[in-house]
Amino acid sequence: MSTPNNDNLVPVDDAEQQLVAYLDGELTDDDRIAVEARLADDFDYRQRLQRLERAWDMLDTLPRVEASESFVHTTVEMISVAASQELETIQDQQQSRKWRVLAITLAASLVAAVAGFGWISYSASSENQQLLTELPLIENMDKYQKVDEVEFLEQLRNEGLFVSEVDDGA
Amino acid sequence: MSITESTAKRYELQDPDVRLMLEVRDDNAAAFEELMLRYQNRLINLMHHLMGRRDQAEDLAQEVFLRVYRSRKSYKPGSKFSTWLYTIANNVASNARRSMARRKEIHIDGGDEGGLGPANPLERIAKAASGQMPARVIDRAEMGEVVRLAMETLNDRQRMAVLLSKFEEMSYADIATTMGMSVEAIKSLLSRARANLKVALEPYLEQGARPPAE
Repeated sequence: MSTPNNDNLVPVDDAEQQLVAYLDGELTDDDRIAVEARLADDFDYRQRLQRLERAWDMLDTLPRVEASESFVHTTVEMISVAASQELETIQDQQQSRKWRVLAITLAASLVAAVAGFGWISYSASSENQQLLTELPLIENMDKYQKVDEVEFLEQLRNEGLFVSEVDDGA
Repeated sequence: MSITESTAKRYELQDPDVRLMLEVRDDNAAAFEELMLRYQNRLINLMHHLMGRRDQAEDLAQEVFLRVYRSRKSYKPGSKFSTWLYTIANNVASNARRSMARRKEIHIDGGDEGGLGPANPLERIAKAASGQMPARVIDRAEMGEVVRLAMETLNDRQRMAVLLSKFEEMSYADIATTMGMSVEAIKSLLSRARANLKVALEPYLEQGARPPAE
């Protein structure tokens, strides 16, 4: 359908705009009283009102159409199809939600396993490190246990008795 | 814009069609059918006068009902039901026009009623008026065709506003909501539309020809 692009095909002054709003019952009380006062005094203004009103009334002759007999039927069919698609979409969403939950659970288990392995490895290696550090002590544990006082051992160390052992241990 | 609970409640109390739509929201098929029966002819006529083609009018009305169905779950009454429905109809019609323009399938002659000669509606009205416009009471079908041509002189927005005002008796505020415009803009739009109609129908107004009674 061809459509004029311009809203402004016919210039409309304020008076005419007021007349249209008056006919449509859209004026405030004050504006309505002002329009009615002018209509009572101004013949041309009254003529304009009548022409607008008659042109408006002519719209009643526009042909009216009624829905075809099949309209409701075909519309209901369309809605049924839409409802089925909606149901399928919901089912798909539920299915994909299940898969998502499963994937998240597996990923979480994997992360927990890796973290657990890492922690155990770390713990084991730190225990070994401690054993290595304390190896000279462990190797001489029998000798150290025969001594009653730590002060005596310190005295022996100060006299240089353990120098070769410490060096060997290091 | 969010709709407050009090607004929704007010429209639910005032408008029986809103109550039906709320039942549709709860998946009541009978309520949907009732709404369809209430509005099908009004929607088809709106689309017919808006787009100019009867077959397309039914398709577009169906599209409107389909959108109503699809948006039922998010429906919250923020206006009269008819205002909400015609807002959807306005969007559907706008999309259809854009789609037609893209496909370059614009029907210059206005549709399925057949061509009447000049492509310009004003020229066609003038031709019709000069050739067959003695001071006689023309028959209703003839007058209907003249008025249809006069409606073609309006642009899309003017035509929509006129149809909502004339046949749906909507207030400027409701038309403004439907068309996404201000009330002042609707006032201006309708006054221009009515002035354009008056000019297009001037030969008939001048000679005192009146539309015959039904």
